[in-house]
Amino acid sequence: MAEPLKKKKRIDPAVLRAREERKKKKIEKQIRRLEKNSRQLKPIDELEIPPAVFDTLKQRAREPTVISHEEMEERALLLKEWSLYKMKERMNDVQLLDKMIISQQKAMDELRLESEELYQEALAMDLNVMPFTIKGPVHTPPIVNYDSPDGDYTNITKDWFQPLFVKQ
Amino acid sequence: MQSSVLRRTLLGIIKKPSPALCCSRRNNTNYTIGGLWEPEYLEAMKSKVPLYDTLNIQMKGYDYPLLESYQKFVHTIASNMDIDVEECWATPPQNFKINTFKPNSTVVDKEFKLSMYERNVQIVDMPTTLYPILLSALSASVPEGVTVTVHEHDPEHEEVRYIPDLELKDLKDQLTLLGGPRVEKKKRKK
Repeated sequence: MAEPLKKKKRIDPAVLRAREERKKKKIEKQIRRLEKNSRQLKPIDELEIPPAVFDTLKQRAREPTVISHEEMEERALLLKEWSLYKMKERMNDVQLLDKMIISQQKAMDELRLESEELYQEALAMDLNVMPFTIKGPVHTPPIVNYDSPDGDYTNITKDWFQPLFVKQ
Repeated sequence: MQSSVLRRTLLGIIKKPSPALCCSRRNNTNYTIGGLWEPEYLEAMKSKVPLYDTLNIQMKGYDYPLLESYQKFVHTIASNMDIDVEECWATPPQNFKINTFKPNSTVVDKEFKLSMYERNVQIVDMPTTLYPILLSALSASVPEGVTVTVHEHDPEHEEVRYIPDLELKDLKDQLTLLGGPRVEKKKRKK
């Protein structure tokens, strides 16, 4: 037999609010606890040792090869020549940059003498150049009248937002 | 960064001190930049040219040893030009699976797996005049297959590097459902 329907007890709104406050406090405490542990950086694939290699490290270890005295001397001299060449190359680069900066400074000084307004305009940030993209050259030029095949590009990067295992 | 901008606007105000203070302490200077007691070299040290706040030079390419040596090169070029390089980092690569189909059908002919690697160099406080010079240095030296993008730093770029904490996200969502964080009353210290 069905009982007569009970009257819904009126809960005091202050009590309700107190309950909500307590829940919020608990959640906030948990948030603070999680935030204290510093976040982890995503692992970078090309810088990680693949686990297969890591397991066989001992097997892969080799004795260092013995190099004759003449060979070592030759290598040392070669290294010296190479480092001299690279140093000259670097000095050239640095001098070129310095020349550019100095001539720019001279031009700016002259401009300032000419007109203050144009000088200020020249100093201002140029928004055309703000997000700037430079594409490097390619190994081979594009083939003329190339009939490219149909295909698909799919991004299969690991999506960190999807949990690996769904909690039951 | 914010404080330097604020300081610049504050110190730009040239104040004239009252005669009583002027005569007793300073050498009869009528103008003091900033405050009466601020040393003058502070004003001299500030840059005369507007500065870019934080810029990211992002390098992307399919060949990562080349990328790494290019990143090293960019770093040395920037430090030679007396630009503050604050940080350099690598972002995990984007992996692509590329299928080619046989002509006039959807039968997969060849499959390739390629990764687009990324390196970043962060530059702070760069004068506007040096920016085009840096750009021309970069575009003259960019190696094959590398795409370089120079843009302003976004907090998103920082977020991409970290593993998102799902529990934290869940808790924060729960909190917003309940109606936002509590407003705490400041307790008075006795």
